[in-house]
Amino acid sequence: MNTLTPTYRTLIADDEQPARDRLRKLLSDYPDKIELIGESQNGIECLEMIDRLKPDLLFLDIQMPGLNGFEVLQQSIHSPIVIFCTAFDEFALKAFETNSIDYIVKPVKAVRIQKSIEKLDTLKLNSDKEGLLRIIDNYLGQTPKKEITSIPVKLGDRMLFIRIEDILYFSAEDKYVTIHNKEAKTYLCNLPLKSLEDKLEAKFLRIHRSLLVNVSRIREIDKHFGSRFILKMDDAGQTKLTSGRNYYDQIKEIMEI
Amino acid sequence: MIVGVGVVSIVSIFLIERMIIKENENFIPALIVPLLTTMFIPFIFILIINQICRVKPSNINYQIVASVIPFTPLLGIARAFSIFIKKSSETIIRKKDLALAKLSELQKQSELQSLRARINPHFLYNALNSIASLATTDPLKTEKMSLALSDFFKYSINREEKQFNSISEELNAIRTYLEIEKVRFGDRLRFEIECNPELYELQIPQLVIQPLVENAIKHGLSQITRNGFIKIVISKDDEKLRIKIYDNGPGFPDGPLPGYGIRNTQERITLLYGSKANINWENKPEKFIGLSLPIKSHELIQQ
Repeated sequence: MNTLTPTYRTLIADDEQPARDRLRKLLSDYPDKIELIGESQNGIECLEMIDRLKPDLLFLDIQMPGLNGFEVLQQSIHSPIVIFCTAFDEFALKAFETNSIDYIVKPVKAVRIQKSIEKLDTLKLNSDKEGLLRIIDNYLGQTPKKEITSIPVKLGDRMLFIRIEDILYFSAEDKYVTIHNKEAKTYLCNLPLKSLEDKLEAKFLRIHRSLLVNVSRIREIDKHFGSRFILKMDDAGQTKLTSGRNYYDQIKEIMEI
Repeated sequence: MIVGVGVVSIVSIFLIERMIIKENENFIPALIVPLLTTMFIPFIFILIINQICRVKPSNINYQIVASVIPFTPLLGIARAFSIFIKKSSETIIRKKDLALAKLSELQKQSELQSLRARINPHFLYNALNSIASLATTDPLKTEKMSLALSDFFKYSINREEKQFNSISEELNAIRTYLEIEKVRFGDRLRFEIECNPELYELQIPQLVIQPLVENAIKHGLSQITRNGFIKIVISKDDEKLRIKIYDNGPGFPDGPLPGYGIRNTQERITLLYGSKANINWENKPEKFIGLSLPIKSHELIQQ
């Protein structure tokens, strides 16, 4: 490597052939800067190549089979400069506008590549693995997981997708969980209450060992004796649910919001 | 004899009156007809009584009945008025029902409109990136790809706002869509479409299969590194059309489902067909997602 004009040993990772072709072609305009040392077609291959070839620079697609771009970086030992290259919109990638990484959105433009390459020398200075992982964790933590919209329920040979917003509450008896919707219809669901609670997060509140309630469908909360509450629900039948003693604090918290 | 004729004429006057009131949207007949009939019926009564009693006009019974006659216009007016009120309130209710029906139809239309599948922008960005890449190396493929993209968009934009389309048109659009994806995925994507040509002209909701195929690529095939396979099978049994989309990617998840693709598909077919249509998926023995849609009987006869 020439110290005056360093060449970057570069790896391209993208699962789509045309996308790799395009990057390779655009990068061939910078023979002094970019030395292409490999291309990988999926996350697993990419992870292997990063640690084996130890590239200086990595053009990385986010959505890839095997491992996605983030998982590749979380698992790799070697830490190259990373330029994300994806069809995600720019808004989603604002988090990566930092000193240690860069991103390019598809369709990739020659001018955008030029800009990235001009930036390379400053990026190199700041490239550190820990900082990168922090940004990824931060990004994954901040971006809400794709919104849960329905719960599939099997009814014989057909499936219903019960809208989350139409659900009043879940109740558990023995092993079975029942979904109660706003039209007072009930459906059996084959998931434990705990896993529903985890997956539905803030939208639903556990008010009893066997009750998980849709927060947006609570109309009124009244105090009851013995650290309990009575929750009046927002449905035609004006369902009333009594909370368990042990859930006093959680419900109190909701009431104050 | 006269009794019979009298009874028949009273009944028929009533029936005619009801018919006129019912059929006429106008309020004038609703006022005048009851007025006339109410005044006319007592005369027939007198004739009948006259016949039964075989009495002279001087008879006391006859006089009682006759004395009622001056009040009949009053009775007629009262009756006409009550019928008028009833009719006008019925009309108002009917108009309201009509407005409500129209509103719910409009609501249904707009719901259907919003449930209609839209093209995923990422699909467009990725396809255009492929085209940009092919442009310098393979002009023929570039041409093919951009024309395919334009065909698929034309179909999906659906300028005539058709809610239904023939299976053959839908399958053409899916073939085009998969050909575009094949340029991106290369050997990783193989697909097969099985459909008896006898079914080609049957109507199905416009773009009802494509989102499920897109799902199979996004959550199935694109998650595996090689030998991705998608199969679309359309068949018919018991007046039902069965559409199944198989793929060899990871199975459908258990539990809460993110995204709107499948939920919208279910809501759309339910709005269009009620409970006669359904959606189903299985992970074993083969992973597939299936639609079962009713076939309209006239479509079968046409063949």
